[in-house]
Amino acid sequence: MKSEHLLPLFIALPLGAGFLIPLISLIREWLADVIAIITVSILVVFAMCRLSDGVIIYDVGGWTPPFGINLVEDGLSGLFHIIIAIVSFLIVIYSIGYMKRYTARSKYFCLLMLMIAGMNGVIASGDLFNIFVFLEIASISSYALVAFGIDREELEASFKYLVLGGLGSSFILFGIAFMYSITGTLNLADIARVLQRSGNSHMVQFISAMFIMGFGTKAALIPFHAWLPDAHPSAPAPISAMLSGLLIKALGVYCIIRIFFNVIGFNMSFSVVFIILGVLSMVIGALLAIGQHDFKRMLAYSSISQMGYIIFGLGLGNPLGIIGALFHLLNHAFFKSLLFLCSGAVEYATGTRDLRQLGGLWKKMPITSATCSIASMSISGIPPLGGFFSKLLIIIAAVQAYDTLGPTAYFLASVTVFVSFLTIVYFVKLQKMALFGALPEKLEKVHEVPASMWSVLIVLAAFCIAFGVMFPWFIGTLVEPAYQVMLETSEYIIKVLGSL
Amino acid sequence: MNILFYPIIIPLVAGAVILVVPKALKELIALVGTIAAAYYAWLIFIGGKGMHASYIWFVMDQFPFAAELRADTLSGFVLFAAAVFALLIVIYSIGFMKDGERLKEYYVYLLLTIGAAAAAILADNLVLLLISWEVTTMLLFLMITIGEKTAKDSAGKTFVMIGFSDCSLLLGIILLWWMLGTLRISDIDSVPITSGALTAVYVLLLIGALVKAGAMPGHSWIPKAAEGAPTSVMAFLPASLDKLLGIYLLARISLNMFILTSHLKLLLLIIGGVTIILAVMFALVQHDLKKLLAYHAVSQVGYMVMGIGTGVPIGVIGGLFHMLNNAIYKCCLFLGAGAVEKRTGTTDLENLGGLAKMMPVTFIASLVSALAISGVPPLNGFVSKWLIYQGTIEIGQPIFLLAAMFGSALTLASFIKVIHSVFLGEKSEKLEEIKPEGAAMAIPMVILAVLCILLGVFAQYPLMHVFGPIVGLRFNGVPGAIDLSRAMWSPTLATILIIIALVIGWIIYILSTATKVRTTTIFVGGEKFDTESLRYPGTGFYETIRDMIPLKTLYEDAEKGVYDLYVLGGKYGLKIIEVFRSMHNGVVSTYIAFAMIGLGFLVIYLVR
Repeated sequence: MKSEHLLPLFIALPLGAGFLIPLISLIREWLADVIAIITVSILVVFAMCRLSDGVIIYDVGGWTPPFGINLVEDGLSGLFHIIIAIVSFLIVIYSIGYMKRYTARSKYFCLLMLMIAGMNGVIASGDLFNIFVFLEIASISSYALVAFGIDREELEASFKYLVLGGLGSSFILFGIAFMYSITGTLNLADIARVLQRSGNSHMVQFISAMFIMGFGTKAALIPFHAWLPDAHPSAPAPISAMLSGLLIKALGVYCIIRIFFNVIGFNMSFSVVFIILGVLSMVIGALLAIGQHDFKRMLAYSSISQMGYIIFGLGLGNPLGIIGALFHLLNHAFFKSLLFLCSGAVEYATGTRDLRQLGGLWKKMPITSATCSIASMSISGIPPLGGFFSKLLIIIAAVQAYDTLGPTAYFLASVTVFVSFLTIVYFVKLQKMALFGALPEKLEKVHEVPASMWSVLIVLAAFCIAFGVMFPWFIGTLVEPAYQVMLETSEYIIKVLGSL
Repeated sequence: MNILFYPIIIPLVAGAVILVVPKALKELIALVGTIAAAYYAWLIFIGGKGMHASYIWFVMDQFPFAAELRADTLSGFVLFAAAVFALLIVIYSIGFMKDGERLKEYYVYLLLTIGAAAAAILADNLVLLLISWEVTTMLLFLMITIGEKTAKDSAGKTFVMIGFSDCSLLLGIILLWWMLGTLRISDIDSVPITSGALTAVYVLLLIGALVKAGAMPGHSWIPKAAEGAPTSVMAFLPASLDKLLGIYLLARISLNMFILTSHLKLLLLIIGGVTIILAVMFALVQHDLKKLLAYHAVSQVGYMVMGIGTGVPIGVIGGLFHMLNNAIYKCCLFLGAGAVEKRTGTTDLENLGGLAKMMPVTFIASLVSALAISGVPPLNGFVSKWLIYQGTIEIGQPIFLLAAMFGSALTLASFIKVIHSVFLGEKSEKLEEIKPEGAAMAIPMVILAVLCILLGVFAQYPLMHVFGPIVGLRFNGVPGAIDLSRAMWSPTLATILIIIALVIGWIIYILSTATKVRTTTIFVGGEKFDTESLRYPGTGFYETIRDMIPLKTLYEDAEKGVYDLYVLGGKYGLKIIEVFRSMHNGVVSTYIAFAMIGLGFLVIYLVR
């Protein structure tokens, strides 16, 4: 099979599985698990297969763009595809053990598959409207999954998420409509070509504002973040891991990168906006995380803060900033998923996620605790784990931005370092309250989670260590190709359309 | 492979091996690993001068990630000292940690710490230094958590405070790279601090060094760590290894990399003076042996910082020699405290007493090191303090001389209390039969106590052959200029005179009537007496100074945490957080308002 024919399967497989699962689980409930695992395993193989290939373009129905719909797979999509494939594979395996606490497994796996399909679709789509469609598929399934526990708290969180997510989506749709009205096309490469000829107008800036707001909502950047601290903790733990580890990146950061680096073209005013949004998210997210006592809520605020790092790095616009941001994104996908899965394991074993009622789990749940500690160290930027190197690159980039920003660069670097310190503060708080100290009497009978769950934790922790110890390799194979895509708008147009 | 890699890699490998082998072998492997590391450290110390090794890992946008190592007299010496302390702690732990929990982890962390510390000491690349530096911080955090139930708060505070200094070090290193264009330490040679930006870089690096070493105002993690950490961890990290690392970095940046301005020297002197006095004041009123020792560990850092801050050869030599001496006697004191804790189950001075007979080795070793820390001649602490005094005189700052000497007197006062309450005095009834400390615990203490004496009596040899050349790195021709064995203070001759004086004193004591003391039981008209209530535990020795007028507020403020950046930061930090929290009231319309206001700003900014 030629590799370009694999591309639609990234979307078709999970979409098909999503419809198949509820039907087939009527025969046997466990078949839902089997189909889910088979689907995500195939996706991992596909994502690995296409690593060595260059740019792949698939024209749906043989219609060439700008008239037809096309799917584009380049270094940037490749990075996201592989992150989504590996993390969702691990999360599905974890879910098998974890979801024993809930009923309606088949619905859960159906929604999960739809979410994966939506994310893969957003990443593979070469035109703006399909991005919106897949974005909505992924968002709507995530609204449902947040409410999966159907308790008061979950429903409230889901409602808030729905309202704010819907607000973001509608502004994205506005943006797309305006974009169509000024360029007359929806194909990303074609829009880029038209904009390159016509130059940057007020209208484009206005559309950009809407896109930043819309995708910023999906990426949970402050001040568009307010849904996240409710939605992420309320979902079942594997879904929290999906949302924090993958969804906010695939729907938010990926679209921002694609549109602002490949379509509209990055310039100084966007740089300033991204830096401001990044700094706000970093600082406020980290401060709020310190104040939390709920395991998952702390992680949720931490996600806001870490997304701030990514957008800040992108906003700096220099090579190390972008590479650092992409590498941080890769790291964050793994350590944040791991942390949410650890919180799930803790909740599974103890029945609570209130840090004040936890403690001393190190002896009772050694694997969960050790992996949680590794992830915490990584996200706090302690060497030799991955998080240290991505933060280091972003801080170096902030200092290098002296060339464009002047002395403000030193201030920004200090802020970044300070947020790194705040991250240490709240992850120390998390570790000392949950993992160390005296074991409360209530938790005397706690024991380690089943092997299907802890094996996933170990694999993710191994990734966190590997990202640090072998970081040049990961940057070379995964991040560099993605960075190359972001360099030039014209390159993207030529690759997709054949000419400028 | 270059020999410089051995002391780094051997402990790391040994640590990894402990993880996989059966439990019974862990002590043996730890012992073999530390002995091997100490052996190679010795080889580097005696023959490694000028050695270097380099391995470029990865270069990104002119920012190199490289494993560059080099050895000179300073790093070779600090490395060897660190390896010896590690070895002593491993031997001690065999006895001290015997029945502890998470033992396998403990030895793994211990060995990894040695490897990381060796990398930090030998690093010729600032990023390598930073990485290994932060690894030791993380391992310290994990090692403290092994301790008692309260250890989690100790560990948390430690990690947060050193984490802050590590962040500052990181920023300093990156700014340094940006300004000077190199990360190789040996390339950054005597850069004059001319601009404000370079001053900021120096101060950032200084914070990194001083918080690790425990100088004020970054000191408060040490007393907190003492509350929860296993005592062997206290003896190893805050008392010896972190001092070596912190002062090593201070010496590197102040003596090698930069030429200090007079303002920065004054800053160092002030930090040193304030640390000496305030910390020893807090130490005076402590009731817990470990906490008291922890405050002394802070106070002693002041001498080193002050010595280096003088900037004159003799003061610098004194500061560096004090780094070694302090590590020796402070380690010994903590080991003694650990032995007491192990055998009696408490470190509360109130409940201790009269242990001299039951634990003679601990008593003698603690007494020697207590005298050494108080600067009593002819022990090592005296020699290094003496050199620091000379340094302050030479720069004409008598106020710092006064602070240093006053601090020394208060240290002696404080240790009189310790020796009385723990080893002399009357045994508390709460203590049951006490076993002696056992060989594994005794050997390290004896070695350290002997070192205290040897380094004091024969101080001229290390000063001539080790510290002279170190300072010679900057001040050429110094070893000749201060001829320590003749011109200033001859330790060996002085010792002989002191011994003669003591012998004469003893003869006079024997001849006088002082021996005619009659001991008898208490008799108060036949009434039965509770002897416990008559015991004088020594905790009340300096209670009166608590109530003296200017000091009263000092102690009250200290209890409220006014001198503790961690408490202050937490208090004001939470207020800021509260502001943001109150903005998140859970009402959807508020959240929509956030988003729409954000959109408004975006439109205004972008569409101009």
